[in-house]
Amino acid sequence: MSRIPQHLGAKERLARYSQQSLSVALSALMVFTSSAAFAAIPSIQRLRAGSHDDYVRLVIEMTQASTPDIVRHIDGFAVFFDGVSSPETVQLAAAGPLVARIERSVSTLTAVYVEGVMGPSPVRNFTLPARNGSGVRLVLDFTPRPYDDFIDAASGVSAASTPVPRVRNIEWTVSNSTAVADASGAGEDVMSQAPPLPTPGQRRPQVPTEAILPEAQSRDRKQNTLAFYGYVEAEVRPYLQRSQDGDRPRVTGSIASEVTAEWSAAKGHDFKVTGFGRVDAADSRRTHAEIREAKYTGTFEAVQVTLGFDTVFWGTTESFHLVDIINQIDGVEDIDDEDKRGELMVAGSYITPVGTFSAYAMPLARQRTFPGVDGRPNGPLVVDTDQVRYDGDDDPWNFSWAARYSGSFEYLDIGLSYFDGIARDPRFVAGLDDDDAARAVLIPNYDRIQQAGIDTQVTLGPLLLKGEGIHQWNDFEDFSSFIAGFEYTAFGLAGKADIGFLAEFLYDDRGENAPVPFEEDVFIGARAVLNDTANTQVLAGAIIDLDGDGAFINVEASTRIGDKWRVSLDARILTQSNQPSAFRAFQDDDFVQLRIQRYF
Amino acid sequence: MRHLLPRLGAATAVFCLFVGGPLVAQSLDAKQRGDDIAREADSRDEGFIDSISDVEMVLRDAAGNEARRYLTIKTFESTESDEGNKSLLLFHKPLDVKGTALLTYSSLGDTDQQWLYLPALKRVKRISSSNKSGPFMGSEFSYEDMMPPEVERYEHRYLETVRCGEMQCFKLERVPVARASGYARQIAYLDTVEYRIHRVDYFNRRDVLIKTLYLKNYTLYDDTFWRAENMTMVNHQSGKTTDLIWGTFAFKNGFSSADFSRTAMKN
Repeated sequence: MSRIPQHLGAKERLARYSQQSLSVALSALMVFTSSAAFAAIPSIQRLRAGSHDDYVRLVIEMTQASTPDIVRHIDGFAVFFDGVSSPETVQLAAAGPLVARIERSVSTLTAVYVEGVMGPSPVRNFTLPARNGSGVRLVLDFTPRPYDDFIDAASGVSAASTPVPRVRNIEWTVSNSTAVADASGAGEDVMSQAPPLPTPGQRRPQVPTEAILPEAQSRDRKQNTLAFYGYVEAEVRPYLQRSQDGDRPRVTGSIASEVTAEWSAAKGHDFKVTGFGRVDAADSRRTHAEIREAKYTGTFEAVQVTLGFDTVFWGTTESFHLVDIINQIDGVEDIDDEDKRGELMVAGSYITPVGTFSAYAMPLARQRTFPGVDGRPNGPLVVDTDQVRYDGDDDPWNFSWAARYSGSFEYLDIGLSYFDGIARDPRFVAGLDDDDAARAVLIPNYDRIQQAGIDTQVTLGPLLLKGEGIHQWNDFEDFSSFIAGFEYTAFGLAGKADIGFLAEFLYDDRGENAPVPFEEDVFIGARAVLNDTANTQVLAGAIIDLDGDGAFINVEASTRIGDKWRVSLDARILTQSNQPSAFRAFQDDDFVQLRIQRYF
Repeated sequence: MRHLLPRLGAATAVFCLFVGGPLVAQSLDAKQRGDDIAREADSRDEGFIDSISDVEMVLRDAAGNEARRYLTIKTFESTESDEGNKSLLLFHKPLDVKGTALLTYSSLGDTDQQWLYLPALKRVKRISSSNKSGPFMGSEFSYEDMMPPEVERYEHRYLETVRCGEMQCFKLERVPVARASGYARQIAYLDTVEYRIHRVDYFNRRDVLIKTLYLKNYTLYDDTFWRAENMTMVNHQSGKTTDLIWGTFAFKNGFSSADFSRTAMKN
């Protein structure tokens, strides 16, 4: 713009100034609206930046001169060019604290954002002809933001051609709150003291994973190595009352151990053996050993094959597991029916995007374990496992098979299963002990059945809706049974703990004739997970028989001590019931159980 | 005066075009810019296909007592545009949780799907994934913190460019979209050259600075992917810290979707 003569009066100056502004604006407007008609419009070719003693310089190389509008912007300036085009690729230039970028806002309105410099205006602003002939260089000098020292001081070198800086660790200043509150960011950074890392493009020396994390046993990495782990446990059980016949001990104890050996022969071919054993001080039948797993697993893309003894869990509910049928229960362990006996099988699973299809072929039926004469909890009659009957005879080799579909969708998890073979739940027949003809015993019979099952869970945020249902066909009385319930979790109470509320309703249409003590029951419970480093959990629940046959109360608490110990305390209590029921036999066998496990 | 007014009027109008426009554009600009930076950072990470790394987690309390956790983290980059990534965490230590696995299917924006495998029962449970602010394994990282910062999870706003060590960093403010998030906002520092995150400040719902995450020892893999091998989360209120030390990453292992299925959790 031409200088306005000083000798003119204020009004005149203002008039001339506004005249000039207007003419510039109008001509800019003309350029703006008719830019398409122009054969060649000015364009920016590149940016260069350089750092000098008390200023930083930005050079904008253009094909033709164009006067920009320079306005204050976040942390610097915005240089607006109207009717000027810019290169397709992002242009960047940096020197010292100055970082300049070209951005195209509106078709021919191009902006160059300059950051790291201070206002209120550029120190200098002038145009020079280009070094190599045509075009111009628009030079803008700025006052840099005050920093102690700068690195890239080479003038005229744009960041695009500078090699990528080494990745030194950043040392942030001590006080985090001031660093954040300080909007200008000044005083935030300090030169790093850390030793330099190798430049990118050069990998760090390969330190084998095992050296960094010798404890990690990542299956995918380790082949041909044997992994060995498990636990040893000591258990003490004081019973709260004398047993019904007065003969059984008031306090029992046992030690147990579970050990797993795993070996990966090659990628996708794994062997695993898990064995369990317990020695009980009071009940000789509770002293037993069990194979939970002894299998080969082959993984071939979406197909998985298992051969040998394995344990498989199906289901979604907490109090009763209706559809879970593959494995027999190791009943002598505990009355919560959660310990399983390994099942011999040839099984395959096919994983597809719509779900997993599995099939199981099981040649061997296994019977449930029960406490002996000296065992508690137990009814007055002992189960004589020596007289077991599988489908009429004593041959355990009976073929069973099962198939299952299991799918997972946005809110729904669903499983459909079918089983045809030897039942896992025994039917008891009164009999006489082989060794002692005067003594009455219960003889377990495992009949051939077919059972169809469905298990579902609907997950709605903190609320889980669960349900299982089965229908069984057998030679005595076909029946249906279902269980439905919910689990609602309140997260983050008292800082970190999660409390879950559970309720489930169980129905068995055999009514009073059911060989299981629970035909119409409600389960209510609460689970607290403290989310502490010791992974402390408490679960309290009650199964209440709606026909008035009493209630079964269960409380479990466990926590980790140190790195390798876990302590758990359980209480299992059957309340008094006046009506005759299968419960009645057990009601004097309430106990508290302390378990200490040491893992290795 | 008569001649001045029409000229002033026109001049003002055009003046506004040049000055007022940019001023309005500035605030939209900051959001757009923030979004652009976040997307650029995201795109720099695309194409890793899958990764596996063994991780050591060191929990330290204010007194200096340490507890260590070991786990393996496998991730699978989804090729579907409407699906997020999948991850499988396998726990090795402490020994009483050995074999426990957590499978997550991230969904962009909505709640994720998560399953927990309990080795003692051999049971896969679908769990609620709405609890993002709960602590992961008792550490100072919440589940929210462990998830990769996908662009759709936040509203970004560019604040300024600051110097960080030898580099310049974009300072971004990001506000979580999820209402269940434990944070009102976060401030992330990404370097201007490779868009790596070097530091994140976390502000709770009362806008108090509660935690800061430092990411260090960035290493370049496959000449393309930067991964920080050290992450330290400092809790300013309790004085506790958690270090995540990532063992060597392996990319493009040839994992398939079946390796991130519920069946795969049991191994």
